[in-house]
Amino acid sequence: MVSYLIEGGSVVDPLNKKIERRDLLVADGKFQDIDKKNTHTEIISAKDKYIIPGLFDLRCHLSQPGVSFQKSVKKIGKKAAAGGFTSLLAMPELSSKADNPETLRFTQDSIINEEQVKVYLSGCLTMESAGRNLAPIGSLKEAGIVAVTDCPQTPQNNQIFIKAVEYAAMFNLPVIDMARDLSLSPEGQAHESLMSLKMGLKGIPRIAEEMFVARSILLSKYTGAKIHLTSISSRGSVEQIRNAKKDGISVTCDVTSNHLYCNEESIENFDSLAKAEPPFREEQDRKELVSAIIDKTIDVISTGHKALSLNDKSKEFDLAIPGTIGLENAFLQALDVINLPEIGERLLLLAETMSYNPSKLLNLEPINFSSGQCADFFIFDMNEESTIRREQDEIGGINLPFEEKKFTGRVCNTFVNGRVSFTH
Amino acid sequence: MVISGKKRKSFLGIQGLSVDEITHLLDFASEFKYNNFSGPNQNPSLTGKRIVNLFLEPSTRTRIAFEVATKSLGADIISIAEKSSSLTKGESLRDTASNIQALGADAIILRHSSPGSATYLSNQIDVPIINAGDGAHEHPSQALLDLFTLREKLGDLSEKKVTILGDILFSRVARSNIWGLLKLGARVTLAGPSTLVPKLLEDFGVSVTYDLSEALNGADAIMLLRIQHERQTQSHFPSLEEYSKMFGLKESGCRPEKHTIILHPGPINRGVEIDSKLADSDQSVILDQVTNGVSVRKAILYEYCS
Repeated sequence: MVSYLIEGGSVVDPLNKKIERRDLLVADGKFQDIDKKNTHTEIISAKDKYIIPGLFDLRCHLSQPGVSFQKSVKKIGKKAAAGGFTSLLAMPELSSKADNPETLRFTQDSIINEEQVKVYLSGCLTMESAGRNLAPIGSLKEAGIVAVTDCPQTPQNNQIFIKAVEYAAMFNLPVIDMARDLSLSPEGQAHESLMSLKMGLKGIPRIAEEMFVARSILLSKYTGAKIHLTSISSRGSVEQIRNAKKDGISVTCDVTSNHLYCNEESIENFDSLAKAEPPFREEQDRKELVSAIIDKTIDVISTGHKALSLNDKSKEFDLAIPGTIGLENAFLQALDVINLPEIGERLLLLAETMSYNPSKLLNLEPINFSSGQCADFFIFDMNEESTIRREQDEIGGINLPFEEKKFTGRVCNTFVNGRVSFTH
Repeated sequence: MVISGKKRKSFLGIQGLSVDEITHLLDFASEFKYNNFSGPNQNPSLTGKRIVNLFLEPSTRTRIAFEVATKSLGADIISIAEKSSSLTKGESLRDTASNIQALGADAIILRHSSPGSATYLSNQIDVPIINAGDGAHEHPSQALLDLFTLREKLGDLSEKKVTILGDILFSRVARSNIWGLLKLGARVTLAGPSTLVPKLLEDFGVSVTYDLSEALNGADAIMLLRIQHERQTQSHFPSLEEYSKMFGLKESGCRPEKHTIILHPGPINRGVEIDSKLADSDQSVILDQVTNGVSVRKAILYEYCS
């Protein structure tokens, strides 16, 4: 049996809200009492490094158009491990739409490779995510889903949405909603602004998102249903959610790390590789999203990872499929933008928003460094640097929102179930 | 992406041109028009060049003006329309253009419905791209011929009041003209229904008004834009009748001052943007625009393809 002694690292523990110097013994997939080490235990030095609970991505799209589902999941596992992720929630576009138990079982049986990342499945809220008929949410829960969502779509019809939320509440399944009123953004390609006007691109105004954020808040207020708003991008959404939380309404939300890091200028010169969903907005929006992480209006930082090949991305701007990748870069970007003075505070906030909160939201046990708990974590070195660049690789996606960037810090090793899933 | 060191400059939009570049092109177009070349090259010619007209959206004026300009410079022109191209077989724009490059084209004149398509293509292939209209983004050769016509009629454009009237939101002609007019020092006023002329446009450095008489008052020139049925996927105004009543130029009623010249990029919807009498009056310079279009395009082609 392989066991590891992680020596001399500082353990970032969001559960107890502290960072402490501590050795960790990992054996049998779990953390163990330190005195259980034996002569075969492999020692890994984490001196001057941080031990961080494995990250949990709340919005990850598994399938890549034009690539076999197995291959794209495999590649996602690699990227996730390289970025410090040990779990992710798959959006319901699998090999086909997750609106039936068979698709879910097929995915679980034949595809998911948990050596690199644990994949949790979500199910559709409506059939084919088309917003017309409810999906068999009860049967989907029996097949193992942990949340329901039509992301990146959302039911445009209010009655269907309300009934779907009420129905899902019966099974205690969190509903994840990506807010966008299509009637206010028909054929929209970019954030509606002076820049989109100059470029002649059809706009997606803030109000298209905010109108549906308001819908979820009102619905939650009147029915008590728990709704999680994913990938908010507008400062007006932040303001509404901040007020709703003050009023005790049970809405939560996430933002993608790319939206914390990029603004609309990423698509200047019609760079379709940086065309995101939702669109990157203005600098004032980006700054407000960062502030909302710090004041805890935003609960979770997700990635919105959606791998796309050159053929689907390098096109006329309005024909390019929207979406960006984020698994490898999310933690580094978030660390870069969260400008708290103490590094410890920053790491604790990230462990909370990228590991603890996502588990909690999905009613799963958050990672905990006590003996007997599942050993999902990564070792992070603040004294090193990482360079993230666009890869021409067809599998895994070319759609990083920038060509190349250097970041402070490096993921050294990632562990899933006590096994090494990544080594730098 | 194949970008070699010898990459030629493309003609993508007015936004990216300097005042000197614009003035140079206008002066050069004037030399073509009056055949009085002052530069070292007394008889500019593109003999032996192969120019491809890749028009993936309907066009009469622009396509023919480019054809006439190319032919009179002695170059070969091959015109490809969407329906006769491999794009109907599912080929991507990038592949179609690469094939055209491989067949030895010296320049591609592109008309496309996607904003930024000319910029995109210029990043993909080595051949110079001449933008003949990309979605609602830019229509730079149209703006140059408008500027040329304005300069011919009004002289120096600095401090001249030019009103652009109509569907600004969906118009590439408006965008290119706003850039060009501002660069040449004109005062620009935009007018039309509020749904097609967002107030945000003021951030370009122009005035926006919804009052037609204010827009017309003291204008040296008024540029009409076609109300584009095919681009409006939803109602931005109630009806053509109402548009004509509120914003149409009429011989009787709301009409421009006598000295104001009237431009229109065509095709005109007679009785909608302007009534027939006024369109055919002395104030209208619409046909001058069409004629000037050829000289301006000769200047562009020679500048970017020789």
